[in-house]
Amino acid sequence: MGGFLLRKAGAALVVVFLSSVLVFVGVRALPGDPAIALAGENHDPAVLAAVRQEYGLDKPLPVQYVKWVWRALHGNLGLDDRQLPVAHTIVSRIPISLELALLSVLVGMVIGITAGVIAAVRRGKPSDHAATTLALVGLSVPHFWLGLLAIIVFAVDLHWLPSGGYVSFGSDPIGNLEHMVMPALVLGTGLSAVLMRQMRSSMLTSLGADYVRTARAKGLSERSVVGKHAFRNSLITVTTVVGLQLGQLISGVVITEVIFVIPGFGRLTIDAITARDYTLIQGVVLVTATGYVVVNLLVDVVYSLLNPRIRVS
Amino acid sequence: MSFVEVAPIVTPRARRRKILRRRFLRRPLAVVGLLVALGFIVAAAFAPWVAPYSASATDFNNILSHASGKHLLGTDELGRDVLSRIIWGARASIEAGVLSTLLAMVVAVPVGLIAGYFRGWPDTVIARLTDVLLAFPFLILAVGLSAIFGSSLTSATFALGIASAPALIRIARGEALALREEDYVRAAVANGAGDLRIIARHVLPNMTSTLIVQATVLIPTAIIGEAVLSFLGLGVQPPTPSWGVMLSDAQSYLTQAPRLAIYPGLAIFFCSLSFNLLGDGLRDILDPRTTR
Amino acid sequence: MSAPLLEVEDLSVRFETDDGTVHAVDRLSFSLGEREVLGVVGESGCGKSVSFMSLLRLLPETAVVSGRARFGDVDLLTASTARLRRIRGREIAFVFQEPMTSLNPAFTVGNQIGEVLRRHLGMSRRDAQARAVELLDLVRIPAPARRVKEYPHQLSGGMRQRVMIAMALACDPKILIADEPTTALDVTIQAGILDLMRDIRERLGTAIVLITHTLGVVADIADRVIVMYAGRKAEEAPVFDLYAQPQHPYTIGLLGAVPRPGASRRLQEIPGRVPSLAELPTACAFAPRCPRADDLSRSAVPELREVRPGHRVACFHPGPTP
Repeated sequence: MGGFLLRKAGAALVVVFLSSVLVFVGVRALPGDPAIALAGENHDPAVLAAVRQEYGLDKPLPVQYVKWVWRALHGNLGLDDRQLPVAHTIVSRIPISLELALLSVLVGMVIGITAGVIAAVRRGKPSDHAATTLALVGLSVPHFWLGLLAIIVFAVDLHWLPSGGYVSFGSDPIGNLEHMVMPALVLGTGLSAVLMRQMRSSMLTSLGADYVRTARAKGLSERSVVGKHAFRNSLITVTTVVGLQLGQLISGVVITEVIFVIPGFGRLTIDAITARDYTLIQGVVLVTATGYVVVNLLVDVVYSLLNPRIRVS
Repeated sequence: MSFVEVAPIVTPRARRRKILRRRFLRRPLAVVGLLVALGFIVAAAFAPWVAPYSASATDFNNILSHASGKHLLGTDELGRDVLSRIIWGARASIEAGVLSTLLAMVVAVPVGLIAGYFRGWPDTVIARLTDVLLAFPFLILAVGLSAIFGSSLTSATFALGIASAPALIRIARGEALALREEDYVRAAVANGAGDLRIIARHVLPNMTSTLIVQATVLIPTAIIGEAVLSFLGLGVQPPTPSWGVMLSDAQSYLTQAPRLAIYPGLAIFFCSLSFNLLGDGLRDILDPRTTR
Repeated sequence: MSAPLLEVEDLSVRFETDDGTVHAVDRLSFSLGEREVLGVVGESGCGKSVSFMSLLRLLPETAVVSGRARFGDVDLLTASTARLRRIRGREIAFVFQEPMTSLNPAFTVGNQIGEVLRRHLGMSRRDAQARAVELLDLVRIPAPARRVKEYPHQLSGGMRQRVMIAMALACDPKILIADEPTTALDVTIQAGILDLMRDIRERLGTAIVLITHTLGVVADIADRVIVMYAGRKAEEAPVFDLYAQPQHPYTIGLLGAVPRPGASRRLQEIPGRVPSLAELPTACAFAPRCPRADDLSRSAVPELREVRPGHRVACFHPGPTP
């Protein structure tokens, strides 16, 4: 298992490195004077000169890159267009998005895995058809529309939940959850649809496997056969899928934050891009790529723990 | 002892197509998906003739009206006919959806093929680059690229195509990798067949079913992607209609006219659902191994 | 001889598939006595595995089973599922053909053996683990205390098969049904498994059903042999009688097809192929391939007749080589 993880970690580092290079070069490759871009479209010569100094724009690219990475490792990602430290803004926003993401994953996994197992065990019966259809619907529905619908029904019509905004958990736990319920459910739906299909397919394969036949021949209860033998093996396959869905999840978080007006990291990304705030963009993209890679690594760790073939080689 | 040329797995094309067609017709959901998808495509192509009004025909005496004889789905905040705008909006979605997928395939298939078949350093480079691109979630990539290319339908299409490519490269690479180990490929190599011939006759044809299925999965993702981009103001620019733009505009009128948010969303939903159903059906008939 | 342990009458199994009905087993009857080793021989597809899997209801849902299978005071074919689950693994145990895939890759060997003990004998986890080690020793796996904590992928095919046998013997069943236990293994390992089975019969007194398509395997260890063809019993006899005086042309053909080292004679194949089982035959199923076939064989189904004591054949023209 150590070898497997080491290789994955190594690959992850390479990816982070290449991403940082990509972002770095990307910003500087844009048409026009990079100094202007980094200065927030400010054309004041004094400011431009300061920016050139700051970023060492007259020096060769590799030197600039090293300087940037060095600073980044020390937590300095520069100042955005409003002269606020980028790192600080990012750090204040991440926990919010993290909470949304975690809640959504929880919702997605609980609903998706349960529905998938039920559908597989009751294959061909009405509950299977219902679940499969729902999953298909969940896959095709655009989440931001679902969010809008949820707002219309629960906020505008019924006044049960707030239509947007955010309250921190520390200051008001109930309020926090009230604001998070709709976004998490909306986002979780997409994930649950994918997981349900994958789990169902995986369980059907497991249930048809020889070792399940052996388990039955041993006289084990159906609950043990399905819940222990088949399920365990399906879980291993599904973990990989969860990993693959993380990208979708991040995209989902971004849109959900925009619709529900949640001041999270996702919204920050969109605002940065639409405002063409390049320093902010650089920092945001770097953090996104790194975060994504790290989370994928975590998924690999979970996978290797679940799969004995990797754990004990 | 003489060598025998091993025929590729693809049996006489016509017979196979007939079998596939029959299997497809036995699946009502897939047929429905096909018909609805075709419906959207036709609506998009023939919009000028199908839509009762032009997309930008305003009527300030008749804003935010409910469904009526003159306006089957009512009017929006500028008095424009909602139904017509939805039909015209199909253009943006179908164009973005289909063209971006095509672009992704044209780019990804050769690249993936080269990586998977030839291996060596091209594979390492391509695989690493793909991993990097995959480290950026699809929408972030699309949004970022849109920002670079500017805001228009064409740039959105390009951005979506490029954002869809990495995943497709990975799939194409995987297929090529697996197929090159097949016995009939080895037999062809042993017979002295050149790389190009092997790729053209043995590898590529056997990848087509997987690629077709992937395309039908990418299209709905791209359709939703275009809607998102327009929603964020990064895609289609007004006055060109797009379902995403309609949704974005509808946000300001959620209390007065929630239906303005419902209709375009339903359009996106049904359009992507139809392609998903089609894709599911195709996957079922093309891959005998999937458990249903 | 005391009352038979298992008495099967008119067992029939058919499968309702999308492409029509397949008659896998047609009115099979046999009995198994205590401490007896019964060999069941036949080509792939003759219904031998299906017959025994049907006794424990291990067949897919498309299977339709009829007949009677008396085991003790229970009819296996009509017993409740709950009752059947108490019999499976406890009184009748099954060892499957594919050791590579019949063990769950996600759990340790000890866990999988212990499961049966915990379920049927109510043992605690610790006791079950200890007993699992003893069982691994019984099936002659070296270093059992270490192996018990390992996963199936860490064991070789031969060892996995032994684990399967250990799992089957865990609750000291009355009957052990081994379905092609050596087919997936190579010849040197085969001998070891067969030795083990002989040992089991001696030491534990378990009745064994050995299903195989290899005649040589059966000769060494069986007391009685049933030869099956196309879902029916073709011949049944005590082992020596079968080998010394085979009566059914199919059996004779099978014996002739066994390669004998040193023999210069050409291997005799049985011409033709096993018939499709889509319709119930109205003639002798072997007729198309039989050198003794005549109008009678082609128009009627031969019933089992006793030609010598304990030796039954389903043939219109039984007898040694023509």
